[in-house]
Amino acid sequence: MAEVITASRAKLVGAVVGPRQMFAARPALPVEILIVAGWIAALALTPRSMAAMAPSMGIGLWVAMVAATMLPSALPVVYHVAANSLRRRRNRAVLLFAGAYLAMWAAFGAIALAVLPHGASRVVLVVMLLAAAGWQLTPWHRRALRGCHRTSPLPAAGWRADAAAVRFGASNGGYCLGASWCLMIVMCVAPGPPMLWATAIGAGVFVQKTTEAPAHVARLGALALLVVALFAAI
Amino acid sequence: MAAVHNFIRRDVWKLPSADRTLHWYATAISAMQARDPADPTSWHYQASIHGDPNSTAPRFNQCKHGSWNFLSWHRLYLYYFERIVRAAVVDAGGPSTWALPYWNYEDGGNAAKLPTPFRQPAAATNPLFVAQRRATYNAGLALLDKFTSSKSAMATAAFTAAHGATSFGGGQADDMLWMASEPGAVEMAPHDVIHVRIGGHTGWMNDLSLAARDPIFWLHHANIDRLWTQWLALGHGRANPAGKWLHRKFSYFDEHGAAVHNTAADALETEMLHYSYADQPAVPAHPHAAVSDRVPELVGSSAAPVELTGTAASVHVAVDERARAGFAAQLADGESPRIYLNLDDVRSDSAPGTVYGVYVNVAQGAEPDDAHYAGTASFFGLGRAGSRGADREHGYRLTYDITDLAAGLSARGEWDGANVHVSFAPLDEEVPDDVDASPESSGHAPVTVGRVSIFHG
Repeated sequence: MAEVITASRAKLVGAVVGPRQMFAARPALPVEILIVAGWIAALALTPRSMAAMAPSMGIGLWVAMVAATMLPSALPVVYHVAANSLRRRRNRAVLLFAGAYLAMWAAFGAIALAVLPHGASRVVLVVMLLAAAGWQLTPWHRRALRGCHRTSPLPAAGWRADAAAVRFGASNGGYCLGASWCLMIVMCVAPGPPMLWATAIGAGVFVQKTTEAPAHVARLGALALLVVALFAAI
Repeated sequence: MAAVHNFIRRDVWKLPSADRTLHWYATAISAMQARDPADPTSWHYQASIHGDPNSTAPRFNQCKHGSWNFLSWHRLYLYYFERIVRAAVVDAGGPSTWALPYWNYEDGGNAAKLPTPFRQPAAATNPLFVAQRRATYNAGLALLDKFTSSKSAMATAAFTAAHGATSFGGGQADDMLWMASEPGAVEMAPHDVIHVRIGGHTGWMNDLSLAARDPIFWLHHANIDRLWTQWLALGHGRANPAGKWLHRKFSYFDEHGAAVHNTAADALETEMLHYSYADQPAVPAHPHAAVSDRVPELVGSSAAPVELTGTAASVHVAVDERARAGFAAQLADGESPRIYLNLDDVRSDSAPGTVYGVYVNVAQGAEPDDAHYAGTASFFGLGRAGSRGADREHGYRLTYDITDLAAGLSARGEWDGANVHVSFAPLDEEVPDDVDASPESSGHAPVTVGRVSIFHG
């Protein structure tokens, strides 16, 4: 046993780590790269306020922001996908998962950007903040958050493996959307740099998804949103 | 080991005929059942700490299953329960040395039957009897050897392990942080199997939220706790884990009804809690084991899920050619990789009372036999996996080390490494004429095994 541990450690921390070894040691690396790319793209595309943008421009930034701030909270699921895929299919599986996850958010974003009023409105912001605070306390929010921890069978090979990764990404993205759609709308209608809002919201969602006391965290989140709504109203 | 043990937990089937341990246990249960259910030392409250079907009070539904917290949480749960019972025994004029007995069903013969005072008299006046058990066991049927065996648990040297590998104590699935729920070998068998068999399709023992209301629950868990001490004594690298596992905080109530908080670090040895088992072997000094960073790899899986509906079922697992070449290379390098069979993403909406035998490469049309037997599959608590306690929803995974089985099959030309045929067959005892009860025939809640997979590592 001890020799085996030493041998596998040696493989991980070998003097020269090529790209192949790096991908083996970091099974979620393709998605981690996607997250970094999301940050770079979001910062590059960011205007002063997102609500002032044309919808066609907005969707690119929207997806970049989701990749930068929402995808990190899905990393435990990405590790699960990687650990349950054949090594030779691992990168493909995690990218298919992440692609489907982002597609769910993109579809929602396209609708949201189309129907939301352009130009920041304080009334809309306050209403959305209050709605987001209320949503935190509903059973639907709880159910969606719990769904973020649901696994899905991943056949090892063939088209079934690809289809399963896409299906899992879509369902996980759907649950994630259910847990945090209100917050992303807040980000759209809020004044100031959207990335600041997106970062705060992403951090909050990450804590909600990984805490052992999700109901407690949801109550705290609702309280925080209420305070922000009060500030926004004043 | 010069320490003086204050309390000795004894084998319930080996208590002398004049022994009063169970009499006092029954007396204490009556007293606890008479207490206000809101009193933490009442029978109802104590059982609800494990699970309660109707309440989401923060002190309830605390039980830990499907992870490495299973053994430590239950050891402390039993310890405080035993203190509460002892205080009730003393109040009733009983001995201050009272300790919980254990039920070592694995001893075979009569020991595989429910201890007589728990089923006779079969009346509400007997605090040890509950009708909500499988009728055949209340009528004195002995459990099948396959149901009581701790062999696979004892053979597993690692306390915890990565996804896809077997462990004694369970995977590191800490509530929300991980996607899967991975019971250890001792939790799978005999723990889960005994729960499912004694409870049957509708009884208390097979329901996570009612199990601790059955007085036999506590003797069953004393045995599981005892197996932990037996396992450590086997040595050869067997050790409790170091690190995070030690510091997980659990909350209980003592005999005064005061809230108490402990971690696994307080419960590493039974001596730390002032009790021991009558047959407890001396445990050699053992350092905590670093958690192995060895991660097994998926090498093949079934193409589609398998439905288990109370009858035989089977599925084909194709092992990836390139992964097989890697396995052969490891063998050639003098390594000894293991082969693990996994049942992944297991789901059910209720608690099936059926225990299945899992078999590998049984020939078409042949009856499954011990030469192809990988272990038992039972699904205690599965219906509640997403609805109680820590608010989580997850896949459930059962893992079997089939390395030795594969070697045996290989020697007989029944293993090619590329195609693994996995079959499931419900296990049941023959009911002899002198047992006055008929076996349960209906109510096989369906279980879906999302994927059957093979890992090498």
